Amino acid sequence: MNAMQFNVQVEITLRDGVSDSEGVAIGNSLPELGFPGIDEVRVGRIVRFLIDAPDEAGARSRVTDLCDRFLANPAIHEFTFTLDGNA
Amino acid sequence: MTRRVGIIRFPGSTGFADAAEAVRLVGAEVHELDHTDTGFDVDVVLLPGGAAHGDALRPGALAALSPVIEPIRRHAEAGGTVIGIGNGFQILTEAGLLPGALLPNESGRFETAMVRVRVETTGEELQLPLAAGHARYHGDGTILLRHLDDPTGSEHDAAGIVSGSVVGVMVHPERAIHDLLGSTDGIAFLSSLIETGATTP
Repeated sequence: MNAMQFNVQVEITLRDGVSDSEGVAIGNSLPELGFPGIDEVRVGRIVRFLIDAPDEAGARSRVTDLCDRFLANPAIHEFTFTLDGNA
Repeated sequence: MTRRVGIIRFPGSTGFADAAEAVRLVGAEVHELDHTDTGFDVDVVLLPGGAAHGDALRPGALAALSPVIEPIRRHAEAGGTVIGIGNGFQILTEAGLLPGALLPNESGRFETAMVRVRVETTGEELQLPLAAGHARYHGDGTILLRHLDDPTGSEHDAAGIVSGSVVGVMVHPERAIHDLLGSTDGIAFLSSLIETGATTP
């Protein structure tokens, strides 16, 4: 078995409908800071790591499980991720 | 019979000593438990305040994967009382033992104040300290404590919720046990939780 290593980037954001106090604070301040015309600011988080898996499907399944159970909280978050097999 | 209260020590449970002092004050017995324990024999489990694992990722996220969570889950399923205070509440939501989640306060600030809350089951009003950055409750849990002047922005002004025999409160009854602390309202509230628990109406 030749295990592969994947470069992963996970993006975690608050679900629509969950108020983002950091995004609101930034959004409210932007005009007076000289950045007019910007609305609906949402702040998220990016987590990068390398993961071992036999193939891309395996990597996808491991990352999804990690996000479901740990990196994101399903009560408030949604997540997307990208995989790069040229790690 | 004296109630045995197991207080869990996670790395960063800075509220452990306050919780232990309050538990002894109400006449219960303190059993120190570790986050790596896989079993225990106590009547009540208490997860104290603080910042387990430095609040890395999200408050409670790492602690929710601790070995001790499984025996806590069994204790709760058997109807045993579980109390989470502050960070302990956050850990219980992250572990799925209580519904919902705790988000950064609406103000974006760490809120520290003596606040008024109402016990929804009795109508009683209490003065208890709040000290948290992530105290904004989001979810549909049954409210046990409601903020009367909510500084967090919680849904329905929730300051504490209950599900089955599991209770989570963002205010700190264990820090309101002496006149010098500005309130003694925590004594009777904590005593009642330890002696009889609080179950979903």
